[in-house]
Amino acid sequence: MEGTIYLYQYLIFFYSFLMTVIYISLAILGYVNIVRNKRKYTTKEEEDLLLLPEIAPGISVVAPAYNEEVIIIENVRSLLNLDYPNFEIVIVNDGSKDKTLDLLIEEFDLIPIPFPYIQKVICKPVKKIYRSSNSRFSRLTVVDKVNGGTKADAMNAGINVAQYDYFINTDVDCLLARDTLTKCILPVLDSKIRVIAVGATLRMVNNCEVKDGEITRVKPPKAFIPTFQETEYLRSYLLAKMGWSMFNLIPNVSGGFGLFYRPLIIDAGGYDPLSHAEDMDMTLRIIANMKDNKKKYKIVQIPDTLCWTEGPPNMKVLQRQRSRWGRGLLQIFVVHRKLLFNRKYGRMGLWVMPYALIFEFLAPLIEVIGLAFMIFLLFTNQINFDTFWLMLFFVYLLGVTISLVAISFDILTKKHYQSYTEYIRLVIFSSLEAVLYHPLIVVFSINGYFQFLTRKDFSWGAMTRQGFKQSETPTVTQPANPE
Amino acid sequence: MIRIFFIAKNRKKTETRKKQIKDQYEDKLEDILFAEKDLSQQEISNKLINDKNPVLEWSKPYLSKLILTLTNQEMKLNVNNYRETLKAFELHEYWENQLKNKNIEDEGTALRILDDMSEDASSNAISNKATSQNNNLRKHAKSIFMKFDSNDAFKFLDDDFDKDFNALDEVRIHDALKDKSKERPLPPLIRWVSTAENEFFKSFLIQEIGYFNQIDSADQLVEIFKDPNTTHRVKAQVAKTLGTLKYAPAIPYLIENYGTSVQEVQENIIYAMGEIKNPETLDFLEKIYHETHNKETLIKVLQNIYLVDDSKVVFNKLKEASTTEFEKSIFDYIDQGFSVR
Repeated sequence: MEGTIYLYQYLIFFYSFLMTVIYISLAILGYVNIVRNKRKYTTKEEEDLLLLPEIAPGISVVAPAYNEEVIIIENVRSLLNLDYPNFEIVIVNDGSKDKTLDLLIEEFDLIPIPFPYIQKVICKPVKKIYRSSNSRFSRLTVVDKVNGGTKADAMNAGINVAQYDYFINTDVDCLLARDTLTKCILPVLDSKIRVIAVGATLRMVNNCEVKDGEITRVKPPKAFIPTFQETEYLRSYLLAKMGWSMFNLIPNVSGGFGLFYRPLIIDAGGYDPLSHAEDMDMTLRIIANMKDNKKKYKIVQIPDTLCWTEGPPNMKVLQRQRSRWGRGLLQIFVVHRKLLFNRKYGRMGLWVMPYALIFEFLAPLIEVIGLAFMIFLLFTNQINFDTFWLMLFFVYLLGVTISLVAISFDILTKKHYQSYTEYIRLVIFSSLEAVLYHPLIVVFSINGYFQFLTRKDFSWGAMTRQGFKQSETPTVTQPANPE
Repeated sequence: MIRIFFIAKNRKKTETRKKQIKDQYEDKLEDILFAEKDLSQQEISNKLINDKNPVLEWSKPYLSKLILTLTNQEMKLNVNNYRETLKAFELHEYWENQLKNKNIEDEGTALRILDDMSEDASSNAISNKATSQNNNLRKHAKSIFMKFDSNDAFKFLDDDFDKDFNALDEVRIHDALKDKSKERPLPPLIRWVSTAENEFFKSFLIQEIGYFNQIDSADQLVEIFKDPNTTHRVKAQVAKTLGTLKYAPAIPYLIENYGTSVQEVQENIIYAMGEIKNPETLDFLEKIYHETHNKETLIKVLQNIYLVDDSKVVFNKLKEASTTEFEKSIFDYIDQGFSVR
């Protein structure tokens, strides 16, 4: 028994040590990458593209919608206002039961068209395809299809209809920055190697003021959970992904926002409707496809916040979100087990997948086992409290420091909040995260693993929309959609 | 926390300086830049610069950006006054000195500002950066050099432009060529096509031949198309450019090669047929309509038949004869004025 305890303690020590080293390295790499990105791409490069429509590549923006009557009009308007010379918006109505489609038809003067539909990737049948009779909305295409139960199925229909080589995968509840398309396409153009995907920073829209589908004032969220999630996202995008991106090691381009090379997605068979984490699944499949075909590729992460999404307003929604992520993560390791420790898949097989397994998938389990182990040691009087408090304080400070570094990276990229005092809110929440928020994430993730192992049925549409805060009438928010 | 404090402090300092320069110069600059009367450098200096308000080095980046913002307004710019203002503040000298810095960020900013200023920049200062070790800086300098040099502006088109040539360079070179073509017609770009080895650069130049309508190069493009060593990418671009140039003598070669070409080349041949528009191309498109099995290609064939067939006799005949729902939907789609983008 004593030997086991001794071994376990050493294992945990090295685990924590390695994690610390990785986080510090990612922070340094992330910083270098952000500075490099800022130096390479400025408004000058963006303006050049805007002024040369004849040479700017076309981009399709694909956004599936299921029961989104609360936000659909404002969001489509926002998408139509994107600042780029060549783009189309493809909204996929995935068999909504509410007035999503009716509102779209009425607001944008849509009429059914005899679109020559080709099913390049499998999805549920498409019923009708609409375009606007009003030239103001000529960029808009609406696909009405039979409900497929998942975002993946709806995305596949959108990919079948999209006309350009690059497309953006986003959600209808997301608001995109006006310069999203120029910012995303610049790293694609600036590469000799095929860029197969581009990710950017996502953050919370919850307390932002929105007018005509455009964010007029960015504010930190008011509610507790989205505020914690804001810092969590900054850490994930600006620190981890920007760091991994330096070595072309991004394993997951977020489902909320990402630019993809469409022919490759079609080659890989499109999104998997059975996946609980269709974004990571897709990213890994296109990487595997490129590696199998011995082709060079690049996945790029850019530091700019281009997408604002609604964070979970309450515990119930947070639980649903994190359990789904937990299920998805476990499913990834089951489905893509051939990538793990496989030399054929290069750094992805030997570094990133093992990292995700050990430090992301196993982390909640190790934390729970650690807690149980600590209680055992407490009852058997085997804890050296001087060392215990020292280690605990060190780990806590490290966590807070990493969050502060992520916040400083955000300010370095662009100061989104009007005043620095608003950033203080994020700093305070970062200091409380380990106690108030992180334990919830651990429990919900493990719940997700359990759900996956017990094979429950799941479908999309789990998020309850609250609508955006209007800058004209800041005190009024739309009622929640009783979905 | 200390880092956040310093970032905030620097931001604050920048904002304060920006505001200070704006308050001090904006109105005066507007009066000068949009004045109807041409002013001399001395007159401008008298209005803007005096002993109480000497132009300090730190203020020059802010001044440059303010002037550039003002010139972007939708008012008629007095080009003479604009030039004299830049001289009065010695802004070109300032940015050319910045180019000599060994700081990549400063050098990059200097290149962008000189590019935006568009007037009288020294091509020598820019040319020096064309040998930089930094890929981005080097390529940017080469493309800007093309805009400003009056002696041998296109020298960097030799040797495939750069070993790291990519699509962003295409945007920059295209911008420079467009700029240059406003002064006088461009030299025939085919000259650099024949010496280029990088197929991406070659394709780009061929695309530009079409954009700048250099019809005299069409014969040579046909020769490139006929050359069995030409890659698919280049061949596809040649077909497209011949279409853009509406070069009818190329039709027999395009038709002859269609059957043995890859899809990318075939689709561009179809595009070219639609652009060239004559009875021969219509016959060819009608023939391949019956032979095409690829649905995407089929849509493109019909789209181009619609473009070529002014009387719509062939289009309607094929429409009547269409049997599958998919084909019918293509005819209706095109008939209703929608196009394949």
